[in-house]
Amino acid sequence: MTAIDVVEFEINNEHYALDIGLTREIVEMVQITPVPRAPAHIAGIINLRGEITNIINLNNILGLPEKDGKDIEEHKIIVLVPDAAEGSIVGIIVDAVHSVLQISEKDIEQIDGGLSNEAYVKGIIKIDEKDSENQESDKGERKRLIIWLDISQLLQDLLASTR
Amino acid sequence: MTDEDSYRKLFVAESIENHETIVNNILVLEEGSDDNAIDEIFRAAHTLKGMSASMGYMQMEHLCHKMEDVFHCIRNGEIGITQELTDIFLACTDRIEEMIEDIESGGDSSSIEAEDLVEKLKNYETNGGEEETYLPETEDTDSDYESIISGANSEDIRESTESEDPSQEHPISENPVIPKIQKYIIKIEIADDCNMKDIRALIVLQNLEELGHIVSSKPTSEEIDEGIIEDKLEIIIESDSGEEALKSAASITDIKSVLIEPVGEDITEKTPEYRLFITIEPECGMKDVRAMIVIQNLEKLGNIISTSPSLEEIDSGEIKDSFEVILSSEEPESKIQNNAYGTEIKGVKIEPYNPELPSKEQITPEVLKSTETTEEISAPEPEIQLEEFEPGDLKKKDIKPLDGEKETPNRDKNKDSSKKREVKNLRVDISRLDQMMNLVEDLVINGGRLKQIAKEHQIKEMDEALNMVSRSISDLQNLTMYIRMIPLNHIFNRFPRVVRDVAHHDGKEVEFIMTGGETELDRSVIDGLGDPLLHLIRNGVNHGIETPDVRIAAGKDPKGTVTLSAFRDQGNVVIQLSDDGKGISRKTVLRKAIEKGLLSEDEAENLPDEEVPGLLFLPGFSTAEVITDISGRGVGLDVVKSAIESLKGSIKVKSVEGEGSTFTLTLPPTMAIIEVMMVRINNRRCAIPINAVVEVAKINLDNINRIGKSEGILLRDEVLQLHRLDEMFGQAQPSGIIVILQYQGSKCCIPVDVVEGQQEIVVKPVSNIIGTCPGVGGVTIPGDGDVVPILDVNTMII
Repeated sequence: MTAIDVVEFEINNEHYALDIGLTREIVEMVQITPVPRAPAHIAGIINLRGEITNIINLNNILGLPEKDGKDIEEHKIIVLVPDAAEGSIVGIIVDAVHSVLQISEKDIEQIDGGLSNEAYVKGIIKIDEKDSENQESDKGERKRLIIWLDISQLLQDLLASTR
Repeated sequence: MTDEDSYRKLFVAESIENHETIVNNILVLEEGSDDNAIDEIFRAAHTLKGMSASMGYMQMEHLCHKMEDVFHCIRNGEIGITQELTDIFLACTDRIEEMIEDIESGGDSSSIEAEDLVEKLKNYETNGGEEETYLPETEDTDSDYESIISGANSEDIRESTESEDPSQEHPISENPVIPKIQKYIIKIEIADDCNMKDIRALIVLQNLEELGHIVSSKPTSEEIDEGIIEDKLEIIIESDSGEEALKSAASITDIKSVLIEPVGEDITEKTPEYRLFITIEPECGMKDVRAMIVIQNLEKLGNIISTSPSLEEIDSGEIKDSFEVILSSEEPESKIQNNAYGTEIKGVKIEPYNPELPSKEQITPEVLKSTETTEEISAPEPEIQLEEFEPGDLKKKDIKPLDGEKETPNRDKNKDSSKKREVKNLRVDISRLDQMMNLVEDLVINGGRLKQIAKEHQIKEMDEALNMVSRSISDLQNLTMYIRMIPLNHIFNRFPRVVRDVAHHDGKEVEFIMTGGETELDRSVIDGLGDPLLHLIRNGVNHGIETPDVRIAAGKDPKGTVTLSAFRDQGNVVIQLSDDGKGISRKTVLRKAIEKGLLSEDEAENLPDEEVPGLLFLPGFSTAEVITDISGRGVGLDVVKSAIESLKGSIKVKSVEGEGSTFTLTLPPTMAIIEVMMVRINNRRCAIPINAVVEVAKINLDNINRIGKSEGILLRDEVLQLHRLDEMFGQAQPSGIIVILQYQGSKCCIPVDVVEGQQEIVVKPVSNIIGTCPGVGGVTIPGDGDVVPILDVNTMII
């Protein structure tokens, strides 16, 4: 059984995951410089050790409500490997980064059709809740869902849209 | 990377260089005989031959060898240069290029046959050889140049005659002018930074072997083969080729110096010898080290014949308070004495010394050093010096020991001279340069941060130290930026060939003039520019220039002219390609446009003249009546246009029917450093390229007048349109400060909060994930680490 490593993060109290191979590093939130007349899904650019890093606003792409400004300092930026976007360095803003998860294939539910295309969902990961407080109530039956995003597809589409 | 791979890379890089030299010089030759060009070709072909032979690419070696032979005949005036011959040569170079490409991609080029070309060359050579007397050596009576040439290549003559026509051997062997066989010692120094010393040494040996009989070499070729070689190589050779020939055969890439001296006259005998008694301070703790340093310093002045105690003994620490050195040197006594002094040296006594000279010393490495230095000083010596041994270097070397840099290792002393000789071609992955650039910028930013901290805490010393650091950093930054810049010649160089080919194909006569090839552009731009330019040039010759009879009929010089020029204009690089051909015909273009359905007849009728050439850039447009394989498949100019635009440049055409046309490419160097004015608009920073800024003014806000939908102000009797960039940055604070800009040929102004100042920045392109944002020409990271968009004045208003 193949196991997949993903990074779990949170946006708007929803849990998401992306392939660990795509991530380069996670940095603290910094001041983002907006680019005039850039598309709405581009939050702006930052200077990451001398490299221009393009910050993508996932909320906009996934159709989630915009961030309300509070706790903005708590947010993190997941910086992706340059290969993911044809050499451009791209970062995505997330509310929080949780952990690296090793998931097995059986825990992934493939989703076909509209949902996966529109929201770039690669699959839904179901894992048992490990929190001790929930242990009693549902005898480990309680599962939580993580939305596994297809970030490479998302980037491909973004790149294609600018051509 | 394996050794094999690195050799291969080196080979390819150098071969490309040599190949280019050959092609360009063949074209020079076509214009008329030029001794320099022949010489250059000869040298390049010879190097190519040697290198390909040592790498085992026999086909290439064979071909180069034959080319060399034919060029030899040309040089001796036995064969004239004809159109046909240059064609064959160019075909040969094409073949060589194919081979190099094959090798680069991992092949061994053996699949590419060159026999047909070799045959053709052979024909030429023998035909040319029979027409005239084959006595190159007799021709060298009056000119030194000729003697060098024929000396250098007598081997080639011999080879070629042996292989083809044995009857021709006689003139050579019976020729009374042949120099007598002479024994030489050749001392070769290989550049310190050469990482394949063994290969270099083997190539030298191989080259020399062709010229004569190698009596011995040190290290021997077997040793070299096993990689046992330092940076010195000494060869004793018997040869009749003369010193010049030997020197040129030995002077290959990465060879720092070649010193040739005939054996027979013993130079060392002439050199005065001295005995030095050197006493070391008794309380010195490292007598052996001190002694070694002294000996090292003395070695720079001459040849150390012996020491007592011996070097080995000193090395193992067996030394008392004094030691003795016997040195042969042409330096004055005082200088030697000076050199012998050093830290903790108590006294030096010097006296002349006169023993018989042990002859075996001649080939020890010490002798090499001594002769090198001594001969530089004694000018009338018969030895050949390479040009790098100029008085300047000599002085440097002499001063060094006196400067007290006693501990400088010996091999450092030739570093300066080695730089001059090497034509280094460093091939670096562009991404590494990018990385380097990023790191340097990081350094700048963090340096700024440190400075701030130093200021906050008022640490003056730290501030001063940081000033020094930041100076180095900014030098480093500039250097890194300039490393990425390469001259346009990089792509220009292949164009003369293209023009020639197209012109011959079409039966046209074209003179091609290039200027400004030294203009530098960022590498990434240069790379993207090659193909579009190539296309334009082909186009210009193919479609622009008329055939000679048409030109004569039109009262023009039968030879057309195509001019390619490049220059810097403000922050941009402008490349212009103009021809004096038939120009762009309004009628033909409009007819074509209508035919292709790009225009209606009415539109065509009313189209202003200056917009006609623009039609050429529309997709699917080609005016050539006949589609040739050279240009014009109807995919031409629109592709050129989009390629230039992807480099964020622009292309324009101007044309006068019957007089020619001019294509103007304007390119912003993407990684260029440009001067910008930093402003704040709505408290957001923005950089405006300084060449777009006319002036900064403060106005009274009440003086803004509404002019229809837009706004304008009156500044010194001039009405300026006021553009608010609210949509880009948000509303500017009403500070009354405006920046007046050059916008599409006229002036306009934008309100800003404040002008922060002027500085040099590195333009970075907007990432393709963001796409093009009108009005944003790029982004930059100024010294403080912020990210700032750069305003593109020409597209800021939409």
